[in-house]
Amino acid sequence: MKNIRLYKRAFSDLFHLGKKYHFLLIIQSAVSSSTPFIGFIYVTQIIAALSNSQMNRIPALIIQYLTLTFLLQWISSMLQPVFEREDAILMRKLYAIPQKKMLTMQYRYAEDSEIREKLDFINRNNVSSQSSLPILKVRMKMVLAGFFSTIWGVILLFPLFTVDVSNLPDQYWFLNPFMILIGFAGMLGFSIWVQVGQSKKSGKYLIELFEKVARINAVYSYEDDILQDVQSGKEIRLYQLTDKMLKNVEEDDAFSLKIVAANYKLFKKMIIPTSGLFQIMNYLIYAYIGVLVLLGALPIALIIQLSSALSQMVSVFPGTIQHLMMMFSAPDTLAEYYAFLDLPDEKVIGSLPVEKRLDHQYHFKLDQVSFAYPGTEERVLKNLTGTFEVGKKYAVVGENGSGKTTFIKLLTRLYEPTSGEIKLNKINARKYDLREYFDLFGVVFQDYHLLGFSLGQNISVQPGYDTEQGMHTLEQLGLASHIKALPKQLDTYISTEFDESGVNFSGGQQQKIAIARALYKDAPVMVLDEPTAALDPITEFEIYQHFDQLVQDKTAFYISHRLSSAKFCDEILVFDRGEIVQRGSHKELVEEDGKYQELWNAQAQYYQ
Amino acid sequence: MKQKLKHLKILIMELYTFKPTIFVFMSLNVLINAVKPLLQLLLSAQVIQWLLEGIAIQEYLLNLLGWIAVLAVAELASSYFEITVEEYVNFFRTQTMFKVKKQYLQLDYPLLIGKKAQERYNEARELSYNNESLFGRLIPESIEWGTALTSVILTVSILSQLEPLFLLMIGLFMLIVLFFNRLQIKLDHKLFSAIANNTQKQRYLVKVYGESRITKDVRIFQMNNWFKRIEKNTIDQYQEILKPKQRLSWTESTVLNIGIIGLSALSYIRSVQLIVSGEIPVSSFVVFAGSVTILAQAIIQLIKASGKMNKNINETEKYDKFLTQKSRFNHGKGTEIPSGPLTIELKNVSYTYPNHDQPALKNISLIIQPYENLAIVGENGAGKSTLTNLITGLIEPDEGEILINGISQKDFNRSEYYTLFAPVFQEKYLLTYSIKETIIQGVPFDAEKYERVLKLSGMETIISQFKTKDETKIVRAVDRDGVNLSGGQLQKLKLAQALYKDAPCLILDEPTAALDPIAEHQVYQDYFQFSKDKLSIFISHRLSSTRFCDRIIYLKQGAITEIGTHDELIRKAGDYYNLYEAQAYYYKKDKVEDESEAVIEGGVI
Repeated sequence: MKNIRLYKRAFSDLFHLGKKYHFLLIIQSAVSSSTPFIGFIYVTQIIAALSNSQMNRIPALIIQYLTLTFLLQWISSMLQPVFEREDAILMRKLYAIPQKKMLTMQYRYAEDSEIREKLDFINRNNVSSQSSLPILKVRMKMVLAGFFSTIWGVILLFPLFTVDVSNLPDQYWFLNPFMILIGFAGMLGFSIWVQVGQSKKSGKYLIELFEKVARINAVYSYEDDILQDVQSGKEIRLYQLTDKMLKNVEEDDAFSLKIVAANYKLFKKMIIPTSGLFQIMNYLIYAYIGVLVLLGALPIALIIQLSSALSQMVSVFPGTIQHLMMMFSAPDTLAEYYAFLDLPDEKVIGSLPVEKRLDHQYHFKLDQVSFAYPGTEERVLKNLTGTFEVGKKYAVVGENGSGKTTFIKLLTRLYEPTSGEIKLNKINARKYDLREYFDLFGVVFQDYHLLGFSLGQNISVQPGYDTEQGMHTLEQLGLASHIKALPKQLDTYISTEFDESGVNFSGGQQQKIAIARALYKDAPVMVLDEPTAALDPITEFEIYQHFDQLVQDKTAFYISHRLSSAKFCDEILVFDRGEIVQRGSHKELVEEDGKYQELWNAQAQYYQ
Repeated sequence: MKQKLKHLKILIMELYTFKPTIFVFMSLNVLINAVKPLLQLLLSAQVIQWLLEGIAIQEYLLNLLGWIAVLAVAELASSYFEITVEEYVNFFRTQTMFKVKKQYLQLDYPLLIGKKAQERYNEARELSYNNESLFGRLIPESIEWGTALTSVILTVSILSQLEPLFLLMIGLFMLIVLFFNRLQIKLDHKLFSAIANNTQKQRYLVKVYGESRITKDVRIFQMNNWFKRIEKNTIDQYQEILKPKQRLSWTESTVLNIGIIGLSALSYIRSVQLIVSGEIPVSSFVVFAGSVTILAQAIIQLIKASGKMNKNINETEKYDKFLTQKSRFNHGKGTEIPSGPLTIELKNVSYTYPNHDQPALKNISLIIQPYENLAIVGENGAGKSTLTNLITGLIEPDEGEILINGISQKDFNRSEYYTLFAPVFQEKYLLTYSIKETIIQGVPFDAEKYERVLKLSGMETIISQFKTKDETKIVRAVDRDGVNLSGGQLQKLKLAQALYKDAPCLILDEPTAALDPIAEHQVYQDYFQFSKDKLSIFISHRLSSTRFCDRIIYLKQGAITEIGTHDELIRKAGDYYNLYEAQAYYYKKDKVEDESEAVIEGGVI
């Protein structure tokens, strides 16, 4: 029952995503599967006319036949390129769906490494599992062709039932068409039963094999990915990894080939029961109809129509059943696919609009905020309490893993606190509309990533951008002159990944563009997480020196391992094991025994 | 033409090394595929013939059995071939894929770098990538071509009995098919890059959706609309690109369908005439009518398959080009590797990266003394990493030479030369999957040394946190039960790896970029401890650390502009001084107030 709902959903999704495709598909398969049957009908008629010497009928028959064939083939070939195009577009859509889901699901899922693994798994299933949408789509095409052939077959077989069996000699009692049909149905049933049994067996076998090769495949694609990066070649050569890696590849190959061979052995075994049985049926068709003709129960020419229709049906039928079976063979992957797509989206818990204030009067207050990542016990933030004043610059320092970045994720509501609350202007932050809340922040994350689209779009984060404002922002960061020297200026693509004409920017320039993005947004709160890691000391120094100009009257949070940042901020928040252990100005804290002093000295000693 | 023959020969040789009997196999397959549909036609004709003659039922059933038996054998053989071809394709592709990979792993490093080299590899690799790539298609497409050719020959010989005019019409039809095929190929060629670009765009877009580094930004900057617009543009563009292709397809299929109908008409009319005049039996109509359909399909097949085979032969060039690259370095017998302390001398060394106009290093001369600790400092892109890559012999100077204890780098066997250096690179690749494997790498295992390195590097305390100790897996992409090492832990592991190699020269490239102050401090301490009895080279952005090195060189735009100890360079008040001051500014200002506290001179931690 659950499975029926799953498949219903899958087919309805497929249909909605590719309405034009499916419309074309139905016409296309109706037309192209009709062509051979039209042939059977007319060749039968022509032979009948020839053997009965009704020569005057022949020209008309030939003309009708050729015209019909021409029309059908012509329609089919005119539809073909449009159909192929729609097919390609639908395919693109289908492959993009799970990836797109990553954009809308709640952040806690998007960040979860297990969800990422699931995404990889679903992407792999999209090309390999029988019950994934793209493969269901392909199978549908086959089943549809089988469906039309069967309909034609039934129509053409009709004369068989008009055979007058009462006149047949007694010893031919078994020539009753119903008897014969029952016999055929029995044989077809047997053939299908064998096939289903085998395909179940091989399906099970394949699943076992996939488990066995899962790691090998993972190693293979992981190494393939790494090798794409030429720099890895340095490590391989200097640490004598060549032989080891070659041996790995060789072993992987040998193992997967052994599996392939075993699988094909199974396929080969299937030939006799399926193909062989088909030949026996072929014989029986000719034998049966032939005998009827020889006994005078049927006209000679009908043998073409009947035998071709029957053998076409017999040959198409098992294949169609096979495709149908395959479609329904892996409901688990479909279930997993929809479980993934049904992960909750970033929901709008709050509905309160955020008051637009030109004076940037947004106060934040933390009240006993604790946080543990979903599914874990360990609290990475403990009892954070404190207020943050408007327009102040805060430095956030601490060792790796002390909770600095998690704090930012909570402040920006990428995560909600496990206990305690964050208040914006005295109201629980949860109550605000999430989209509007996000609009309060301009953030440069440590692992920022520029996209291969145009520079201007990367700064505005929208399809369009204001050239003047964009340039102004770049000017503030000292990048404008470089961009103005480029022929396409803000329309320049970043890197060549999306557009061949793109330009590569150095790590420092990229970091500045990421900062420009946060500035362009002109949000009341700026958050900068390690924004100078890729900059050389001189550029870093420039950014520090102009920090006040950059953030102006906004509230700012500045996370850095370089404690120098603590000097130009108004207040320092020292994080240690998930707690704010110290708060105050540099002057106060450096005198105080504690974490800050330890951190400061570890770095400052080298410069004294 | 000579090129084509050469590539054809390569393909044949590849097939031969795969399986010498493959050619027999393919020929049989072609024969069966071509004969099978004709057998079916002949059977139909024969049955009609028997029935018209009013053959005895017993005899009919027996004769029929004989025919069907032949057909059954053909059918079984063809199914067997079909499956076996699929199987062979997988095996064959693995063979060529392995060759490419092997070559890539063994090529000298200079042959890997640069856009051209990368393209060469990717192109060669893609030839065996899946069943739609060259080495996946080669066997089925050869069979397809052979089958089409045989079918054309067989059906033409049948139809020409009917009417000699057929030969002329078939020739004409072939020319038309060929003409359109040419147009198709030309158009495909013209559209190829536009389609490839569009596909690349779509692929990139889909990759972006799943990109883990943008998960935060997507939400906070609400990037969804931006992506939607780009995707829509990409699909619109795709439809636009395909338009001329559609128009050509429409014209082509109209003309070809008319041609096929013409051929059919001639065959039907002539066979009816001959039947009426009693020259051939009625049953032959089935054979002639069927043959003409087979023939028309076979001609279209043949022209298409010929085009594909031609493409396959042309594509072989990429394979050949990649596999026949000659090595750059000495891989034969070389001078014996020095066992004592090293002196490294660079004499007027210059180097330019492939496809770059500006040299990365210009005329560098430098002598590094035994056991010296040398620091290399400079802005991004000044040539720091290039310098170490030259010294380790990954790349070689365009001009000048590098001498180790007075012997030219070129005189050593390159693999042996690599044993002199233990670098820790900036990019931390994990190509081994457990902690133990990572420390050992390709170096022979020595239990005692291994234990010592674990202790020295501090890896011992790290592995004691894990249940599986040094067998702990560290690549989550491969082992789901693996751990994610933190930046500091990874740095330590890579340092342990370098220590285990126990080479006379230690190289550290920018080790502390992502570390917090305390972890950074720890790395410096470890480093200076390990490099005491070795020659060591240290690249850093953080000038805090370089002051403890014996000597510092400052690189600017590929040249050494300053050289000396920390104090000397500070006194010189040049670029190094500026860089240092920029970094020390915020740390120093503090101290201005109590300058009375004596500055501690370059002590070693």
